[in-house]
Amino acid sequence: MNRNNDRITSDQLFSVLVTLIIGIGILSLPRNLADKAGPDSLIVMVAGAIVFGVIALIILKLITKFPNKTIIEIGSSITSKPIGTIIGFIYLFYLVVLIILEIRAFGEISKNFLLLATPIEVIMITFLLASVYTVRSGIETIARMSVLILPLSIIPAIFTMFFVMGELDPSYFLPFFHTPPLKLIKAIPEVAFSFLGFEFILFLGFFVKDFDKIKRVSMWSLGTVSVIYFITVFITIARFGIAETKSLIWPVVTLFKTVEIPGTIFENVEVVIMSIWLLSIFMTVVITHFGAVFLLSRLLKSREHNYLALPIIPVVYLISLIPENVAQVYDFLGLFSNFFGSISAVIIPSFLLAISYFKRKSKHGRGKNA
Amino acid sequence: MGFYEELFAPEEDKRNKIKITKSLDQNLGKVKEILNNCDDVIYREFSVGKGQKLKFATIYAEGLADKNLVNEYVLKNLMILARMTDPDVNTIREKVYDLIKDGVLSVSDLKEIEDINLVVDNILTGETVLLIDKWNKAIVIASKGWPMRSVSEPETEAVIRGSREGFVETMRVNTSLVRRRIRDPKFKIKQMQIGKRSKTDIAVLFIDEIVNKDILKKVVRRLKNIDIDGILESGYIEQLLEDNWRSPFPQIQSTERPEKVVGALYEGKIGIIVDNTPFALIIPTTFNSLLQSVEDYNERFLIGNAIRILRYVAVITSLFLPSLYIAMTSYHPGMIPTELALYIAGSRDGVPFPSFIEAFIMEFSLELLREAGIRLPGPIGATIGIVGGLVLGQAAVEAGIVSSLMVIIVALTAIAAYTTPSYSFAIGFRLLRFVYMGFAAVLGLYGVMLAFLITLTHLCNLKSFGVPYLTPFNIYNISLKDFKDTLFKAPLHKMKKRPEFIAKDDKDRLVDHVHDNNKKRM
Repeated sequence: MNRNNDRITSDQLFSVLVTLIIGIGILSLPRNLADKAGPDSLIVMVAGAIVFGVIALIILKLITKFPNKTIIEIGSSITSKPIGTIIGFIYLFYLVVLIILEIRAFGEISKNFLLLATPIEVIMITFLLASVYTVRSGIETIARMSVLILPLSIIPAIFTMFFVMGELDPSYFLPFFHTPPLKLIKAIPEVAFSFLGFEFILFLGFFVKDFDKIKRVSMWSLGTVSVIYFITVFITIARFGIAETKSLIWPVVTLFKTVEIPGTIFENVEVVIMSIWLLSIFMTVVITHFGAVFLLSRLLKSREHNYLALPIIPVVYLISLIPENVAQVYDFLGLFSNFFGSISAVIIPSFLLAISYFKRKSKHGRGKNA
Repeated sequence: MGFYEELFAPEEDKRNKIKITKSLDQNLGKVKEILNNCDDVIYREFSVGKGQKLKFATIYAEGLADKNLVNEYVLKNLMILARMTDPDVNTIREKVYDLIKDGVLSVSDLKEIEDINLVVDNILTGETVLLIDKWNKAIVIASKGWPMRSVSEPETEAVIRGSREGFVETMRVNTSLVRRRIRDPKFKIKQMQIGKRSKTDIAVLFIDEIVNKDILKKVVRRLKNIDIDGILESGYIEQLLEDNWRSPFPQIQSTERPEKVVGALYEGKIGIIVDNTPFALIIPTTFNSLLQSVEDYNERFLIGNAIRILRYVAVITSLFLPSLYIAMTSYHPGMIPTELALYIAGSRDGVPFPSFIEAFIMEFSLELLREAGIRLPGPIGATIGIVGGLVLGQAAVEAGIVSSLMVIIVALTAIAAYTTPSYSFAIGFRLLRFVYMGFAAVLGLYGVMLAFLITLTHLCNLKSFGVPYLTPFNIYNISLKDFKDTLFKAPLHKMKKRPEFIAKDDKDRLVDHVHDNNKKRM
């Protein structure tokens, strides 16, 4: 039998990152922005993208020093082995909780828009089982899938958005800089956190065949995501206005609900868009799931990771049922992404990078003295 | 030894060698011992020479060897013509072999062998063996000639524009059909035998310099690993060679059309022709190539493209239409425009089953019809189609078992499924359609998407001899070079390169054909 060799190209990494980052965040991003920044949402959007770009550069600086290594090995070689293991566990925990939140949010959204009468448990468990199947197929399959799913999920959505063009009112964004600057700065993390998922590159880099291109590719993927976010935020807020956007749970879904494409055989386009969005959220869950399984196998020092895909499902499933309603899920998601997101995407990478600089300097110093 | 010689080096004969002795009677006895109770083998002993002193024997299998050839060019020459010359028996003793080989047998292909086992092998493939007394070698006379079907139009892959030739059951004829289309010395045909008992001839076809050697190596290695008693059809080879036997999709393409094999060879793929079957195999195969028909290339750019797109739409329709109908009518009636929804509800009024059962009944009876139509002889098959399609459908609607819209959906699905050029590929989709219907019945549109995601995972995971099945849809090539022959087909003069995921060496197909030149010449 012909086994996959577990290598992906940097081009595939681009698709993986984009499908990963545009997961759940995009559906509620306009609401969060409208809530925090009001008419200055677009400015905050751009600023947030730039801020995250800087974070991305730190992460990239770190991993390009250690080509094809995972965060555990990077941590171990910069500090010490036990600390590397601890870092690995932090990321593992982070990923598992991410799957939990993603799957719950997904379940809620599908229940709301696709299957009104079906119990959410059924939706979640079938989704998780499908994810197990994909994760067991390995990163190569996941990468190939994301290459296919990226255009499949984005092109119809953007196409549909064109039909609301006539109803847009850009004056909702005026006047600029109306919000106090302090509030604007406080809103920036909101955007930055919707780019979470990028830090997965800390262990996805392990699989990349042409590692030298990783920097260019990942910056490209960030750029693409930013453009998609920008368009989404612009259209949603220009369509509904600040006040209405604030009050909607999933403004983007509502946006599609209002779309009427002339002459189609479908009346409610939002169901179609939701099923297409399902593809993209599936990729997000699968990649997170894969990341968790992969890190776990690294921590357990096992060469194979396929068999670990199923055992973590019961844990994920049971915990994901804990939050009582959507609001709680989003509260958790917000809290969690603020806290763990900043630890895993900002603090640990910059900490490790700083230590590695410091170490190299002290080594240099010693070298000169000797 | 070159790359190919080494690759195709035959395995050593593990049987004990039985030397041919100098005594004709002894040799004949051994052959008869091995071939006892094989009544189709004919032994003809005769004497040659002035004094009838040289004893000869020919052995061949009746029906496999061309009797005419044996009579006219072997026996006649040896028995009559040889007598006309006046051999000096004393001088001839040593040279009898050379004399016969070079001067008497007027047959184009002769071999000499020394092993009784090989003698038997040759007899059973249809050759005639000549044994000579006092000579420890046997002469093999190529005399294969058995009744065969003449080359005719392939029934499973009909085209409107294209060659009318199809493969037949004889490998030699099939290789000649391919060779006639590639008169390049670089086009290689390597033969091997598979099957402990059937000893089926298999030809591996490829074009040196174009073929992907890694894939070729893999193919030959897997072919050599096959240890089976008999190969009855190329389907055996296909199943023993493929990467994933659980998959509903064929990972090796089978075709009856020589030009399809030739086209594949020009792309750097490998063809396998198996004796006794008109179906040749093409390796590696991708999702995309299964939706291509030879006609696409013969037609002009716009027409070819339109048909290609139509076919892709048809595949998607045949897979999704019934399940989408089920999902929409039972879970998302809000998606359907109000008037249509009312009409559907009206036509379903009185139908006692949920739409899944309804769809299942119709799809199942359609599969029955299809299977019955294949088994029945041609004219009756058409009758079944009419009886089943028209009468049964109409009656079912009138009886109120199914709604009329359901009949339309199922009929449309069936028609769409028939547009797929590859039969084995279409079967895979037929099977999946039922799975999709089940998912749609339980989970609605979400279920359909879930089934699609699982299929997609499987397709992304699948490889045909190291080539990802969905190539080139899921490999990135910013210049879109490999997309020239997928959903859309670039005009022929723009397809200058071979597909890069297969051909690694000689990549150029067409050298700078400028269409303007054609205009200028006018």
